[in-house]
Amino acid sequence: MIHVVTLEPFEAEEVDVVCHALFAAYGVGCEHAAALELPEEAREDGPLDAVKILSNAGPVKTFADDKILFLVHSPLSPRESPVGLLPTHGYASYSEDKAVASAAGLPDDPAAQAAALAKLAVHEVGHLWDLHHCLDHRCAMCPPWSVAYARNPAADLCSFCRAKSERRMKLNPA
Amino acid sequence: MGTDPQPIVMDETVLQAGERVVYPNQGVCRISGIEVKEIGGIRGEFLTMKREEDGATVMIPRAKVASVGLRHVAARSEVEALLGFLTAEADDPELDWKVRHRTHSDKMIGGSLLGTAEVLKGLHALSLLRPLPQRERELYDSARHLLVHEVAVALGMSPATAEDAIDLGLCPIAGSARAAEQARRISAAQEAELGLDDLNVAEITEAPATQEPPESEAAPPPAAEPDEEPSPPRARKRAAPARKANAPAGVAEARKRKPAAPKKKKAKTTRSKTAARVAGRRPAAKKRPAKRGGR
Repeated sequence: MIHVVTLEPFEAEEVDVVCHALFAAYGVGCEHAAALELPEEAREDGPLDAVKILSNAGPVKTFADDKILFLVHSPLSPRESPVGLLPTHGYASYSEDKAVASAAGLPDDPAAQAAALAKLAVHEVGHLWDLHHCLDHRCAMCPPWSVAYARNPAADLCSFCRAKSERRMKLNPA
Repeated sequence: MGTDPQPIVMDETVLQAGERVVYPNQGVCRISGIEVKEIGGIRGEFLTMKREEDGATVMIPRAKVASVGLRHVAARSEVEALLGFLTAEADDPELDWKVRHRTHSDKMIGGSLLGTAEVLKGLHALSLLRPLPQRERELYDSARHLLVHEVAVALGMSPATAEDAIDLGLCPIAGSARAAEQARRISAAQEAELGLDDLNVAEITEAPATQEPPESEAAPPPAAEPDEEPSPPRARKRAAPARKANAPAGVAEARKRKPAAPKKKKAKTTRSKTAARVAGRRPAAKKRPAKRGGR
């Protein structure tokens, strides 16, 4: 089961689009579980700290293998790395149970924004099942900053990523 | 690479419990210790370790530690040099799948950080030209998985950040100068791979289609060349393009004709002569086989 938790106000229709996309991509149930307050620890002067959101948001009542996706509107602070600041549209703890996706920087049009957020949600939840970034430019697991990702609004997985996620779910059923 | 890679562990006595090592094709493992086990009635000493990502137990017979290619986790400087390597422009990918398969297999079995990165980068460059076959797609995912976890351990960051750092080198940010340059190189490489230059596409398309006269008004065939005589089969073949052009208007006529004889090797020669005539060139003279001496 995938639980979508909003940490900032979202339109119900937008959350519905995200839930539908997650169900279509992974074939497991998905629901809007709760609307919680953004944790104080994640608030900084500027953008939000994604790692602190994952460690401090909640609690959300789940079973052992459930996945939680947090949705926020505010931008997430870019992470530092040896190659420079990493663009952070979302963040996931690989092979674990929590991810966050931000609607910042998505199109202003509500329908387009919902579709783009749904694709980002599919991407981040994919990391929870240990999916890596994908080569297929039509796949939602493309790096979110890449040219291919921006060109394809559909929140679909390629056959390789779909098969891999299904294998992972059989080993570790959600 | 700017720094020396970690050497392969040849003697298991240098390893201590709790130390992290990299097992080729398995990933980062943590040493548990040396255990004595009896397997199939034979007692043996095994170096045991746990794979970090899933806790699976890996056991290596003590006598084989030197041959499996265990090495310590890469140093920070080595990983930083590796990220620079991934950001640099990729070489042209190897197009021969046999060579590619052998090279990539050797690198993955070797288990070095640079070798794994070369597999990843090579397959990524190839994927920009054509979709990867299933086996290579799996190899790419495996190489990426190993690299992500070792970079994460070496730099003390999460796998998500490590993968983004790796991909920032491979996939430039949309709208950046690097993305534009990569798109330009991909389109050039795709054209080169299609061999459009070899086909002289520009020359053929420049010649207007109406240049070929209709069959009834066709100019007499060029004067018989000194070394060959026009024969009926060849005359039919020369007229073939014109008939083909009129085919939609004369379906009934086409049905009355005899079925086409099976094509022979000469068809290629005829086609090239037709193409040369369209381009306004004289076809190349056919070589006559040399006469045998003594007769």
